[in-house]
Amino acid sequence: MINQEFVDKFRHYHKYGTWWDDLNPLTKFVVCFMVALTPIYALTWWYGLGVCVIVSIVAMTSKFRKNFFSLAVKVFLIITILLVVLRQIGHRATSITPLINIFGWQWYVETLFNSLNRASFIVGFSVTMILFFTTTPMRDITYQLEQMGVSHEASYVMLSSMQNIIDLKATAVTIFDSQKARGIETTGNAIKRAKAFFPTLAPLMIGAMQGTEEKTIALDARAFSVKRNHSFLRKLRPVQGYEWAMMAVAVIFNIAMIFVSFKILKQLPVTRFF
Amino acid sequence: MKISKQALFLIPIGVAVNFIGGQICILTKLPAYLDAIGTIVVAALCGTVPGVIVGLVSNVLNSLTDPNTLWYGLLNMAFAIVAAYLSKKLWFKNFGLTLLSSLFFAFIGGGIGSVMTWIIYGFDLGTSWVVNLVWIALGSPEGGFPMFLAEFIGEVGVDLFDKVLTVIASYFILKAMPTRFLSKLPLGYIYISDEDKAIEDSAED
Repeated sequence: MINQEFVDKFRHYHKYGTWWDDLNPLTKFVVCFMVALTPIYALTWWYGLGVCVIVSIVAMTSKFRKNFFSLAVKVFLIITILLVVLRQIGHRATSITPLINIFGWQWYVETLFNSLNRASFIVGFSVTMILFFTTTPMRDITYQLEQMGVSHEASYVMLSSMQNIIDLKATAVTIFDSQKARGIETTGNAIKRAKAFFPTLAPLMIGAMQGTEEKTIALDARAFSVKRNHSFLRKLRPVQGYEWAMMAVAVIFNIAMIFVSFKILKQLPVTRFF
Repeated sequence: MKISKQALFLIPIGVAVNFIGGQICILTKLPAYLDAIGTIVVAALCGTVPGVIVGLVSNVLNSLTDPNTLWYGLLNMAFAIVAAYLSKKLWFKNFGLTLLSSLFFAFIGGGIGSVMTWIIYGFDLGTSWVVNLVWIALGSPEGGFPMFLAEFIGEVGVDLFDKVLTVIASYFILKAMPTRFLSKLPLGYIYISDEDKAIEDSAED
């Protein structure tokens, strides 16, 4: 990239190049949150599964689809499998129709569908919110929040927290290995292992806390506390007319789903049976 | 409400420590979460509001990978309120009282947490293996042992072990803080040792 191109890229709104990624973070949040709430009302396995499929189709259009799928598939499988298996342990009042017997472990049809319905609520909510979080970088979220009047201190807290997690994770492993090399026992019973926990955490936390002193000075030298409007090197496109329409549709859909869930969905034969 | 600059810069550290606690648990293979140390230490040093922010931000960031944890953010915020209150009452200056405080935190994390799990999972057990094992051990399948009680006992039991480790870690971190640093924090004066206070008084005289 030549110098002029590099400079010019800051003269326009930042773009990712796909329709979903280029939506304003506010639009993405409202749409995702409104849709994420609907599996909670519906509480029906096929509706939750449908939401997951639609969300996955949207995610396929995103540049960040790899992040989405690696996380969403994990959450989907872990919660669904755990809930289905654990609900078959022990006897519940709803367990009537035998499904299968695995070496004396009886599974029931009603319990299976009850657990799938419950998993759809958790998974439907989680997968939809994962779409928002994996396709919206944190700096875009904090940028939009600042545009809406949230203080730059709040942005600092969010962004700095994320960076600190990465930095301290690496430091924790280094300290842990150093303490191990000094002879602190990290294997054995729970008490021995608990004893290894403190010599790792204490230097990490105290070192990080003392580092805040230098950070205070460094940020003050960069006019962090100045009370005036801040400028931004990188700008995002403001919410467009059609994005407001998308948000309105999402809100109406959410409200409609409350009615549909309680008045219609529960009466459908396919839902009632399961 | 105005938050001091030192307290503001401590919030991201508190959030990171909440995460790292879990990371070190994995390294040491401890059966605990240890995800509230940052919340308790920041609340004890800076007061309720910074502590609540640490709890809230921790759960918001946690929800990036597991949105289900968003509901449990209330518990982390409750830890901050209790920790700030106990700090003002000088509980974290005494090791015995610090250990006792783990009961409050375990009640919030395990007791109120079990009610939340109970509701989220449709008035049934959550996905914790411990809870399910407790239920089997205490009466299922035919014994008729109340399912919620199994959830409550299981979660409080796990949380009590977790919170004992959490408050011990918090106690030693607070004790090891240098006076120069403590003197700049809203509740830092509580943890300044008597020897340092005497030196400061004699310097003023």
